[in-house]
Amino acid sequence: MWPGPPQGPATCAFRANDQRGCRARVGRRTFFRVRTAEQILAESTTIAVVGASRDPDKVAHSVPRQILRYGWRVIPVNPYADELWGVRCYPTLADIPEHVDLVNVFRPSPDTPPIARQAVGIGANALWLQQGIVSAEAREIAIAGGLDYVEDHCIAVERAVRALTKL
Amino acid sequence: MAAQELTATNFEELTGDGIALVDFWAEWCGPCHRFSPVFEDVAGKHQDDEVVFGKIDIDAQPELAQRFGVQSIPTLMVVRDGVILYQQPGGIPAPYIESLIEQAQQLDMDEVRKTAESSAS
Repeated sequence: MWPGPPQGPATCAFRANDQRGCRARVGRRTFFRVRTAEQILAESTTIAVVGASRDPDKVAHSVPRQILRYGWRVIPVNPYADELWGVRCYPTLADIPEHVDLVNVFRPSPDTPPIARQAVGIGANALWLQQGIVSAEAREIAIAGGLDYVEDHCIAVERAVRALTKL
Repeated sequence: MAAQELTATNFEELTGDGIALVDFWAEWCGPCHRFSPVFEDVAGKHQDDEVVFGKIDIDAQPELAQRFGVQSIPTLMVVRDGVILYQQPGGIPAPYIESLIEQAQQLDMDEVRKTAESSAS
């Protein structure tokens, strides 16, 4: 029988990208912890944005800028730009020299499985595909790699609706 | 009349009676900026009737966005006498908005409330 939700403080027993997935251990019991989009954003500090755009008319520019404005550390990933919103750009996820909590993707759906593999490779905690982007394969890769996963949802809408801020 | 800014304070007062069209938007949202002039144009054509046109900035009004379960923007909502008749994400052309207004006007709200009550119970 399902023992019900964990009581008391939960701790993550394994690294989030451990093959066994992120689990919460309470006493002698271990639970999978599936985070909501709100929890993923609230618990992330550093967000890498794959497909961040220099074009201010594109959502791949204005959405990450909005997240930056509310205090998250946003690292743009774009092989054709040196800097975006005054932040250094990296050509790939693997080039980022610090821990990334969340990988936020603005690329067409068919491009996302390799990005999911890279997100697993750098030890990110979650993968978030923007509104209109869906991929069963990326989902499978992310979940098998122990990452929390969101697809077809705008990160700036989630921030606004939940009134989340890091300021 | 241009669309009015709706807030948690004036929302009930402005949408509780008659027909109201509500556009959920944000300053950073490109598709919202493309839909906004269409919405404003239709609002301009309804200056003389009782239809209320309102805009909700989801960054400024998270309570309202959360209350109506907004998942993406722009989202258009049609309300009559405080009852939500339509709520869909994505911008739509002016003739569709006009059609929504006409359909809302033709509804028998007593029937709508009866149906809503019976499906809720």
